Amino acid sequence: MLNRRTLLKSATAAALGAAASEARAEAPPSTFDEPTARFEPARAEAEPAGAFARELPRPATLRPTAVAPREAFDDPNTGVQPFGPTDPLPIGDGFHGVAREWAETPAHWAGYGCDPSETDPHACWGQKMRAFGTVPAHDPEAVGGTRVANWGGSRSLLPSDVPDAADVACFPVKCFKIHMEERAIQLPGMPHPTLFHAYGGTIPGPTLRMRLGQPTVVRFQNHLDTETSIHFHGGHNPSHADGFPTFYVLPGKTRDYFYPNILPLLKRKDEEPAAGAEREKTPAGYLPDIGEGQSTCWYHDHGMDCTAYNVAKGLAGFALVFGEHELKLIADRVLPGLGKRSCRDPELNSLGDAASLEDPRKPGFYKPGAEPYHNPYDIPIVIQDRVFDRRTGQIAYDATGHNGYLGDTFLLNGQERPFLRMKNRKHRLRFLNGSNARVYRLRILTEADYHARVHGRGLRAEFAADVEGEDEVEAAPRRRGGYDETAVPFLRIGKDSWLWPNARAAKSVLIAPANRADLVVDFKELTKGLKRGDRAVFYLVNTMPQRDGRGPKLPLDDPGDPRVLPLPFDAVDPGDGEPRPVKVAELDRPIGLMKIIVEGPPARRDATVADGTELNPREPIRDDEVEAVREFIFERGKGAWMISGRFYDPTISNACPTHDTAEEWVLRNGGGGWWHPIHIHLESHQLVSYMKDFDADEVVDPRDPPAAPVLSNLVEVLDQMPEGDQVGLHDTQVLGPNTVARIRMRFRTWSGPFVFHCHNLEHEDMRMMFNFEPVPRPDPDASPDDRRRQANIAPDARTHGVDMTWQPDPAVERVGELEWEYPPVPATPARDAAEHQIPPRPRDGKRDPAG
Amino acid sequence: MAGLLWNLLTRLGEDGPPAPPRLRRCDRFANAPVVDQFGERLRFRDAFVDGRALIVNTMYTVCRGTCPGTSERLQTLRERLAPTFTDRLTIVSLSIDPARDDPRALRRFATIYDAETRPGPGIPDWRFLTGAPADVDRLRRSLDFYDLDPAVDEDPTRHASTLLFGNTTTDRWANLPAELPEAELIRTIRRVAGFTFEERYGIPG
Repeated sequence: MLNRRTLLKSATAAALGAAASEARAEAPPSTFDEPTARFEPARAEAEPAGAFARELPRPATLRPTAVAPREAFDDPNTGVQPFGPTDPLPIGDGFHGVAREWAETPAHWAGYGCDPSETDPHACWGQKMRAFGTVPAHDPEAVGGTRVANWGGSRSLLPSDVPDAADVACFPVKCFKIHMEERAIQLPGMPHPTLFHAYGGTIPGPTLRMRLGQPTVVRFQNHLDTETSIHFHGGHNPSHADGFPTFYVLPGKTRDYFYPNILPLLKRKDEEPAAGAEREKTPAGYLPDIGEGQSTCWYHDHGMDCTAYNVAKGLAGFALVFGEHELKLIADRVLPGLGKRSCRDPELNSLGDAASLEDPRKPGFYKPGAEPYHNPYDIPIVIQDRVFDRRTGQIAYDATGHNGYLGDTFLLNGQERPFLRMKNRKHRLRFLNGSNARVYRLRILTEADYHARVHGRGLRAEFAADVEGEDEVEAAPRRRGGYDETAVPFLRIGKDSWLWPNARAAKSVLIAPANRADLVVDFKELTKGLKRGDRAVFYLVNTMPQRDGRGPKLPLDDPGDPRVLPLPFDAVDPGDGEPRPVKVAELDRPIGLMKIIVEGPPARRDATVADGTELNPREPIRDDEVEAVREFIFERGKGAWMISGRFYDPTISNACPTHDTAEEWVLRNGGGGWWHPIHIHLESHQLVSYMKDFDADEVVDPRDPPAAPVLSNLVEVLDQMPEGDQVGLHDTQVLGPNTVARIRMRFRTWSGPFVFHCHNLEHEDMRMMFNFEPVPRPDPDASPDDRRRQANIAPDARTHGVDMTWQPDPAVERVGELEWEYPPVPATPARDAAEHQIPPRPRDGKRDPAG
Repeated sequence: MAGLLWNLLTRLGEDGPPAPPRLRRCDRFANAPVVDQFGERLRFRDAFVDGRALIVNTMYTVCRGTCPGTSERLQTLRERLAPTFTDRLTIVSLSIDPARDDPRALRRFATIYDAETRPGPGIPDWRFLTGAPADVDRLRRSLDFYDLDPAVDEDPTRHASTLLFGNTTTDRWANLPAELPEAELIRTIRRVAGFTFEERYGIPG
């Protein structure tokens, strides 16, 4: 570090140095002096001995502890024990209680047609069932009605004035109980069992299979020696159940997480409702927003300051959500599955008793195949990278902390580099990047291609011939890659929690931490001509070079293009002749993650999904819905991480959008070459712009904090994004270096607090996080112009993004002022204290919304 | 194979499988030889990873940037956390300019923050450490005080003003900016580095 200063070394230091080197000679080697306990990029990029020898585990599905109508949980005579015979405490009686929405009505739901002054929990529940409307059932016979109550829970509490009430299916409330505990699990090749922090004793955590319209309560009991908070990532849930960082489950305590599994309500202003939708309209004129129905969610720890370590130790699991819309696609065999057989829940459809459903070897879990919505052709796979100390078998959370933890050992569903045996047909593969800081670029390669690339036969020669006569250095980038010619094509059907509006053909997917990629691979098509009894082999690979938490990058000694991916997605050449760097560097030797073995005759009856197939309805947020524009800058500062110059403070609100409106947020990367996957809780968001300054990539600014780059040459690249990303819903938006994303988001149903943050978990823990809190509109009858004036924006609302909303009359009073200002840090220079102040906003009202 | 299985089964029957070895996060701290402001020679892990709570920061005595603020903050924390932690807490300020900061310079610097003498009973200990540049560098990196950018990493004037704190018994650790609001910092240090439920969360467990 101080090599320049070594020349000036004083005599004292020299003497100290001599003493130190003497002492070092006798120092016993520490565990972490062993190279195996540190992140080893070379280990990550090499194929370990014994890879692909074990089968991919399928995380087991948890059995509910109770399924009963809402009112049964309040009746001491019915004997419903929500969390099983060993836990007598009723819902909400645990240490941390349950969300108040379980029994009460928030005041702002008056706008949805509820009566907030109602105090009887059952009457409240009935009002909510009416207020949240119904959606068409995917299969009236199986569901028991032509429509499904969006807020379900009880048929007898459904008010009789709901039209055709007898024809509305109301799913009973489901309860689960999950323990968080330390669990020793023996991994192959490790000398000792590995100590994990485990949900329900399994790695990854037990899969929760949720049904939209079926309220669910999960009691999380914490047996760990650390406080936790469980975030349902991608869900739309009350703040109490959302995993707000300081809404802990303390050691030894329980919290009841209430997941109503509802679709938020949408008010179409101008358009006529779609045909048949009139019946689904709620008394207040809303429609359930079917496009917001989730599909692939996950849950993980979100405890303050310790999220990264807890997740690295194993606190993560899948939560798969099934709504009527998606079930129809599965029942109609558009999406892979067993048709109607994959749309059944044994508890709802009375398909057997506990004895026939429960796995005798794994009490509390379903027998494989008996779980709700059982689908052998739908495989959720979580990819996580870890460092293992191979002498103790333990997870080493090593000294890369503040940059982002990278691992050299890849676990898929908890198994290092497994294999997967498949039938010869279409399969749905749902990938989740459960890593702390690693970005993956997934591809599927044929066996021959994989071996040629990994063991260096054939392909290299081909490329060498191709570049003959060129200068060696120039040739290097061309030699790299070439994946698009040989990688296997597949369909991408969704990102994050949601299915895309249409299925799209793709050859690779890029997933940043917390992103999900929903794929359909047609192995039948890929193995055409496969002889009977033969098998075809494919490899799932990661071709993304990444050696530190900053983000993907090639090693410095590599002669190739240092910009691994100039954009954090696979850019489509716009074909306008602009020489933009769309070229993407990939690892010469792909990292094999999983071997896929396809066997058997091609399926005769297969899913029909193809390029362009319609999947999820789309409700774009129109310009006139947007009431405020805020800008947030995600930056490095003072050795930690900031948003807009501030560290996270859990006790203040940084943005207070008006409830039931939409806002546009400008998410700006604060520079330094870092990748920041920005996750916003509560709802999905939509992309309206993605801009990049390619010239700024060439500038290296070593200052800390680096000067916010002047992104003066921002180029709109949204149209270069894969089509699905442009129109699909997101919950985690990755900001590549020198990029600016503009997103739009609705703030519905729940009042806060909620958070948004960088999902590089170390950045999150080091305070790259902000709160937002939707607040009710003070005057529901305000005109559109008044509404814009009432938007909760700086400076009056004392919120912390840079307000970029156009204000017709900036002098007008605004609401939602919250106490947030604390005294400046004692004895810090005034310059620093001032950074915590909001810069005054020009009051001339002429500020350009584009900044 | 059968014998192995039997061994395993019988052992399970008796007293369960042997507990797997634990790997603490504080095991990664280098056991580097250092010297404190009193001239006492120590080895970092032997001296400080001994069941106590720990707050570590990096500083250098002629810093004109964040160090005075951070040190003042540490002085306040020492005062405010003393009733909770008494002497089970140690504050360590590691010099990142060991060539200039000898023990005498550190002691002079410590005078400003009332840390030039050994603390009385019930007061958290505060040590300022220096050593051979190579050892300090190794120690600093093992404690996560480094920057990926070599230009920033090499320049002490751009060092991070963060605090690493945790508990070497419970092995819970966090790393946060020293400039967080004081109340928030105290809450967090108690929660992460506290020994008992009550120390951590302020309510009886």
